[in-house]
Amino acid sequence: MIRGSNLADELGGLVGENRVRAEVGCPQVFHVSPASSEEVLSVLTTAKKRKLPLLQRAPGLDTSDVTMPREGGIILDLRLLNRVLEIEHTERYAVVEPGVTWQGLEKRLLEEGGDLALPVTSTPSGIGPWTTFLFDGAEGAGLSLGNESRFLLGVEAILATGETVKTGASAATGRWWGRGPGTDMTSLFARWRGASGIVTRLAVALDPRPRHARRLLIPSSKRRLAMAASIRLARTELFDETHVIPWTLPRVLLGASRPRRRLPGEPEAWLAVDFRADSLPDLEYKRVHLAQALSRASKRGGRFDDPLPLSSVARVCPSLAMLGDLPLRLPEALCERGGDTAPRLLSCHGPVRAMVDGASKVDEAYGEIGLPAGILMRPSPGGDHGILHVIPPAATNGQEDRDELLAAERRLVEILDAAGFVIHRYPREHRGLVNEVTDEGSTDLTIRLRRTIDPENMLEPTRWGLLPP
Amino acid sequence: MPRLITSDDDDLHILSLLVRERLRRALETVDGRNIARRLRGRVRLTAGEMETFVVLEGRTIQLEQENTAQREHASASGTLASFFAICQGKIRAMDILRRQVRVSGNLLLLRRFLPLLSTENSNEPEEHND
Repeated sequence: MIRGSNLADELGGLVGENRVRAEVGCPQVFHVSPASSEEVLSVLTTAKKRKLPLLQRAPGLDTSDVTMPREGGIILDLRLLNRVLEIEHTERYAVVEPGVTWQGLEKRLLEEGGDLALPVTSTPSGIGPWTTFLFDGAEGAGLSLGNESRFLLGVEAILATGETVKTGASAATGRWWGRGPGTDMTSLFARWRGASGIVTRLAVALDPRPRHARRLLIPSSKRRLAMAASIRLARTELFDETHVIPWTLPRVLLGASRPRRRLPGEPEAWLAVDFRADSLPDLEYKRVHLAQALSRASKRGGRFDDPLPLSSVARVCPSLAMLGDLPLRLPEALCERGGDTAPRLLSCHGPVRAMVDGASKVDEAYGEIGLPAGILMRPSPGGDHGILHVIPPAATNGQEDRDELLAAERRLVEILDAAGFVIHRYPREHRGLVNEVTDEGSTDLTIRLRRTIDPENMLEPTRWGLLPP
Repeated sequence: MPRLITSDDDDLHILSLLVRERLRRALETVDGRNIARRLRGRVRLTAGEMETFVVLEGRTIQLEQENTAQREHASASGTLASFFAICQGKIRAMDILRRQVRVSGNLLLLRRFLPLLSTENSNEPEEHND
């Protein structure tokens, strides 16, 4: 294998010297920033020739569960592929490159002045459709997204073999109006986290732009109550987003580093609700549904305080504006404040009725070591199951603190698994543990598919514990 | 410049943290500092079931959560939504008449203090030292 500086020269020759740099402290790993599909292909060809693994990066990507092989490799930074290639107003879709963020796409839509809007209500600065659909999965990102099948209409990807493929209607027609007809090959890329190919463009369905929008935060005396209301709202399918934020996160955003306990009178949770409508009567209709959901949930005891418009909250306290970027920007929320360079996130799907108990287990696990975690609970679209996002705290007092933290997390993973949760994102330290609690047959099928598409195991090689080329 | 004194961040509830954030922003402005320097008294703020006491002593502003035996000179209470309305300067006489915000005690002190919570920092130049 030929590695080292002559690799840097070769990569520099492909994309330009200023777009190649060695990883700090790891000279065998090179970051390469191609600016076109052709450059991506040439970098892939070089990696193939030299049998080097290739990892992809894009804006806002959570890399907490990825490890670069020690032997070295190439990190393909796709952020310079940041063009909005097409906005189709009649068929309502946009074709974008990996580096386009939701915010960038919204800006472009506003510039074009049409009546199209994003399918998401929050537009955090660092996250884009590529990350949301191909890495994180739409279910966790926003209720309005449903899952990827509705909003990810197709992709153009470069496979590990160097072939370029298109999926969705575009494969047959050159237009991106839908996934079909025929076998849905787009699913082979959604949530595969880059392991099935390098997606260089993707088509995103757009919504008509609503005239009215409300984003509310509603303090609740009990999180069980807030979650019950959230589930009711999800089941109406009228709302664009709903989730529950326990009391710790707002306090951390306001400067508390380790809030140990909820104080008397403090809301136990905050229910976030987004809804949009094209007319005031439609908006009122949704508002009435919201009031009913709050009222019905309150019958079990506890109460909701008056709703707070998110815009007011952000104006009064800019540090709380980040609540409006959730759940899309979840992993970065606390890391920015804590100065932690590697965002860590533990996310799991589970029975919707078990969400609050799951969150309590998280509290208990981290509470035992005096490090509170950030938690966000939300029902899935339709309210069939729930998604629990946990932002583990940063260990600040050295190795002992860190060991204690990891031990607590290991216990937590086992507890959540026993309670019926499926962990799909986790800090890299727990990879082995999470693999152990995943169904063997399912893992095996994924690996077999993966080996068919990428026989040399070049793309994202450490996923599923496989060996690099 | 008046100094803001609070207990450990981790022991403050969300209302106290919000009040602290607003007072910090106010004290970054000339107007805010001028108002704060002239105020003396103990103000109780209530949002839902949370209480915060702001002790104004000219050179210092202290935030307390414990209801000490010391009596407050003025108080304003309502929901968290009312608190956010106060911070945006949106509370009108009608809100008080409708008892959406309840006020009591030294209303003159309250009238001077509440604008501190709605003062915005417009990057004003630093004023002279005390």
